[in-house]
Amino acid sequence: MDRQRAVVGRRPLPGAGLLLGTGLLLAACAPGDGAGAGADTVADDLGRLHSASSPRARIVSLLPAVTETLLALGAGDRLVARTRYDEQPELSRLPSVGGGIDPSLEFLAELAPDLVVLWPAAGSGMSLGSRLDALGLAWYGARVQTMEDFRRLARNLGRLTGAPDRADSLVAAVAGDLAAARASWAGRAPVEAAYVVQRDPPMTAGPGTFLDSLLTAGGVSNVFADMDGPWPMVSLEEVVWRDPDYLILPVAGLDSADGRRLGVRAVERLAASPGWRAVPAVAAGRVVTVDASLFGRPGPRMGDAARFLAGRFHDAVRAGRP
Amino acid sequence: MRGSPTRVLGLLAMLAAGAVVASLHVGSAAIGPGQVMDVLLGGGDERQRAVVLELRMPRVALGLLVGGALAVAGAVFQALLRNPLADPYVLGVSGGAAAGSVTALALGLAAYRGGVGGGAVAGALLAVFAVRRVAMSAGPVLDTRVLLLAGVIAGAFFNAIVLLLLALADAESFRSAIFWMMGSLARAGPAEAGVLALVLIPFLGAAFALARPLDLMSVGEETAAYLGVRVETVKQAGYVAASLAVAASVAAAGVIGFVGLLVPHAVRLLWGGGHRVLLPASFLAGGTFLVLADTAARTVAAPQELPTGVVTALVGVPLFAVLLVRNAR
Repeated sequence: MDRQRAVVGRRPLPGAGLLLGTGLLLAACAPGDGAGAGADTVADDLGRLHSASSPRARIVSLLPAVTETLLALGAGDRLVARTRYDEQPELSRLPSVGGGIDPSLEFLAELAPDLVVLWPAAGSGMSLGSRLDALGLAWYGARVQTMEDFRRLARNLGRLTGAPDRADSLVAAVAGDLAAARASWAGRAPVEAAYVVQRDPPMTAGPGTFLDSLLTAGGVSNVFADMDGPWPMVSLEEVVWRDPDYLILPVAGLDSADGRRLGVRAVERLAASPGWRAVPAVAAGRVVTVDASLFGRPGPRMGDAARFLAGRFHDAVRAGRP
Repeated sequence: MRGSPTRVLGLLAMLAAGAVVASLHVGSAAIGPGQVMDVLLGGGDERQRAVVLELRMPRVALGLLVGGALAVAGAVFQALLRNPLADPYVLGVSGGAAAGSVTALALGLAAYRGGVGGGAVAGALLAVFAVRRVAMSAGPVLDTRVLLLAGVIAGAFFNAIVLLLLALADAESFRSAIFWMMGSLARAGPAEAGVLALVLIPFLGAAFALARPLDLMSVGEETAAYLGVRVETVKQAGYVAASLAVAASVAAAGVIGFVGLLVPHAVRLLWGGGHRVLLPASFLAGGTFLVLADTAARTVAAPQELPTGVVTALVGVPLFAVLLVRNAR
């Protein structure tokens, strides 16, 4: 049984793995510490070792954040398939394996990749990893929930694709973007906000998650930074009581041509839903929409997300238009 | 534990009132007893008013109504079908409501206020009348065994539709649908609770009016007919009234399990099976139980929240087992 399901306490139903396709992963788990990795091996987040002596040439990434990272590492031409959640134009030429957690195994076997990157389920049993083992396909277990997880992933993928230098510069570039975001609001007090990971039932970003970190870098103080666990479900009462000045609402497709309308509709929907309309920030119209794929992926664009927040909150507030 | 109907119902009404008052006072937001009173009398600050009036009050009202309606419907179905395993969902109403709501989610109707609830109502009504139609086609009268079979089959069919839609759904709709089906009292504001109350009055009134015929029916349909009960009318009216009450509850709060199955049995064990006490007592006990379960759901792990349906089963089943064992002695 997937750990992801257990964490949010839902009944197992076919296709529950689709949840993971948003790129926001819900499981709580310890990152692999890389122990045992040597000069020519890298350890994935389960501590499994992968030889880095020859670069991988046929890669399938089942996680949108990992796909973005591989593209940023210049390894886009090594990808032999995509998932239905990878909407980048440069990937449209690739066949889709379906969802990230429930890909077509038959199709994967036919593609014969030399590396599949996936979110490892807790336990073994019928997990995706064990099924790939049975097919003789090598897989890398990536659990990316924090900024540190991303840095480790980028460096490991850099070594597995034979581009460790590019990985170092990618990590440095993201760090630079985050520093630029921090510098842009220096000298001002952070704005208090809550990030709406999920509307019903309400779920938010807890301490240590990449979202918490990029809010902080963007000059936003997460009112739920003291919760237990990375993706806590909270009561609406708690949201009302903590009274964040703003709610940050991710909207899928906000960066598309139709984005403006989608954003307005998402805010209207929030304001019309019983419970949420009792939250003072909603009643006062202080809901900031952000692009769900920009904010939902612990990948190379995290710095852009932080800079977006800093601009949205601090520049706009300075201009008197929050 | 037996007492006169007035004493039993009086006791249960007091318990219900106690549960309501207690539930208004507890929650993850720290609001003192005096302050809750203040808010109820029109005072309090903005945050306190939002928490008590917009969040806790509708939730408590919904708990009372939904818990009560499910328990009454369960009691009616158990009598009509003469089957102790009957619960409000056995005749496919919840399956129809789930299929309707998931269809609404898949069509993007969630963006409109009442879109998902409307889908649930439509699906539930479809299930109620389709099941009745199938059951009636088996003969000149409504055979409750055929009705039960038709209900179970309809439930299986609607489940298949739900799974099909979920398999094709995008992540956001999928997530909403799963949580919708788990049942929650958190999705209603004061307006929704008010509408549900108005809708339930005629159905529950009709169910209460059937108390005496149901007493005779639980002995046997032929006996009831000899004793002057218009068996067909009672069956039809009972089925439709209870089903529509369930449909309204499911549309408002999703599928909340165990209340409708266990509460009528518990009331029977404590105070006997006469429907003139059983039905109103089930209403009060079901409402009280759901209000308390929901209060526990939103407070034991505060500020996190548990699914209400989990608490009703987790607390309800052991409680019921104790009652069963004690009664068997």
